[in-house]
Amino acid sequence: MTKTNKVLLIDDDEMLNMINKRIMQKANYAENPQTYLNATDAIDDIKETVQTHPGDLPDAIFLDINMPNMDGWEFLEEFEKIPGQLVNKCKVFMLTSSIDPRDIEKSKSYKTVSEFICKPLSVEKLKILNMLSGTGTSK
Amino acid sequence: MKKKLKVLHLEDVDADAELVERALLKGGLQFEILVVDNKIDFIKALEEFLPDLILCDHSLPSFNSIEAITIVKEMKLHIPFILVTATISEESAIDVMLGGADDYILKDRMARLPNSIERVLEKHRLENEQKQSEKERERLLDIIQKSLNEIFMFNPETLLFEYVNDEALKHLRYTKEEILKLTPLDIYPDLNEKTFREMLSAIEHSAVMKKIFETSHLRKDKTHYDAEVHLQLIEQETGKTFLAMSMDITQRKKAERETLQLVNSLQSKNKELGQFAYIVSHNLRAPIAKILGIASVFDTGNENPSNTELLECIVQEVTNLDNVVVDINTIISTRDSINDKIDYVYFDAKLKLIEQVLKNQITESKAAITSDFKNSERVLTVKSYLYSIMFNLLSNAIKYRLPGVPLNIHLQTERVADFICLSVKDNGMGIDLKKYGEKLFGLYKRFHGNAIEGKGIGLNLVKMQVDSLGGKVEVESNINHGSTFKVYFPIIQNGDDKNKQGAAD
Repeated sequence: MTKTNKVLLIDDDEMLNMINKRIMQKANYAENPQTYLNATDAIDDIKETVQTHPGDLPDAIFLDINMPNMDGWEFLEEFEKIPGQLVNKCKVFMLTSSIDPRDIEKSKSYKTVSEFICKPLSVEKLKILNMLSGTGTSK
Repeated sequence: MKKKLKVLHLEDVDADAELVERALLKGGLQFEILVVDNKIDFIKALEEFLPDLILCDHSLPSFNSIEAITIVKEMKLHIPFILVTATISEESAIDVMLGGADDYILKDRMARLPNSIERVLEKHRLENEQKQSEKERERLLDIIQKSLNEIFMFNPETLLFEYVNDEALKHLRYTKEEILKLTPLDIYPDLNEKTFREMLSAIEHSAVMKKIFETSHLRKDKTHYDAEVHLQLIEQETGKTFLAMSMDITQRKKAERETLQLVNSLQSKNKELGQFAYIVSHNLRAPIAKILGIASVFDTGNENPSNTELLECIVQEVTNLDNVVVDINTIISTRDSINDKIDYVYFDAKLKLIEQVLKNQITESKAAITSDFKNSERVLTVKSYLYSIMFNLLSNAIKYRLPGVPLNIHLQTERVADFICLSVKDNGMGIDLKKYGEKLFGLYKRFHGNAIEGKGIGLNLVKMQVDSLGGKVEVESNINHGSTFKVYFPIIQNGDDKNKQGAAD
């Protein structure tokens, strides 16, 4: 595993971002995930990267649903407006404490969403993600 | 057999008494006669002999017919009274007749007596009948007058009230004189004459000629009260009358409003509870998830080995806590979603979704899941219920697999009478139905010991949801040979979409 994923963690909970970052490092999933406390900053950065350094776009985005200002769903609306080619390689994983089947269903309606992950994130779950989606280390 | 006529004869002359008796016998009357000759015996006979007829001589030594008839009337007896006399002045005869005697017979015309008796008895019979029916009529009128229902009668043409009983006057606070100048329009504030006449005409032309409705009555002092009115048209020889019976339903309406308020407040409380479930789910789960996350990256490398063990205990307990929170949310959201929209749901699509959600467990257990939905591809039902039912049956099948045996799960649908039956068959551990049969669907019931993770909630949810859909669940199972759960969804007709459901045809 020489190269790990470039990952964005979007969650309004600072401690959770820290924990998830550690878990990703422990699982060797991502070396240095970039964390965002609000979705607005994240979407702004992504839009800028698309313009300036398209090659630096993340491999995976872990997205919380319930956040102040812009929530996960609103982020997805904005994200899917970005021209397809550039964001196609970004996989979005919903990472939320919601266990409502309706949220799971709703996430399926976004073509950019790859998985719906129920918190907590764990080393095992990340391993399965790698195995199933083929992102990351295999490249 | 005709009853013997009881005749009381007031006469002091034996020969005359015999004369009368003979005349009666001659007339063919069946009778029993008592002859008295003084006032005391006369009164006694009236009280004890109870005569049907009184024959009376005019003048007796100590008594006369005018006195006699006065006594009869004073005692309020209505007994036919015939004066039988030899001598009477015209003046006295008139006095006796005016006093209430029914006829008089002169002793030299005794042959007329039987005829007279017959006529007089007939007259009395008719009078009694009339009195009786008058009494009856008065009694009915009195009942109507005193009824606790408000009773009104009004003229179909002029609409003026013709009769209003006490209760109605009491409720409306009018006097009888006042209300007889009014029409129903005066007490139905919301009604105009045109609408009212249309309503009356509709009643007149309906088969039952009546109408029951709730309205509000306007009192004389302009206050209102709620009333239920039974209005009917009565046709009599003398003409048509509208009869309205009405009840003050203020209390009933008040109770109805209170019930409605109670229902509303319960509904909003219920909503709050749903909101609470969401708060529990999100706000409690978030910190739990964090604790589990922290534990997973906790570095115990250089520490006392017992710390590792303690950490595992913490993780185990927090995991249990998480399960409880998930349960609470599941139960409340299920009971709350009873009003969920009904829609066509495809079994295949739901299975795919669940397979994704259960991906980890399926991969781990190497379960082979096969399905055959060609008999009934879809069902018209509550979407979230079908998801939950399939999810629970499938995750149970995986959870209770038989160690060392490759797990096969087969899902199938078919149409059975008025149901679409979804069966989920596995080759897992099975359940001892003899032992657990009735408890199988109870809340927090578990049947496989602590070796297998289980919350005892899955089957309870399945049962609850199937029940609320009006369906049923059946289970066949043998220990170590697997189980088959059959869920029957009732076929609901969806307007113009009839018969399209279930692809069997």
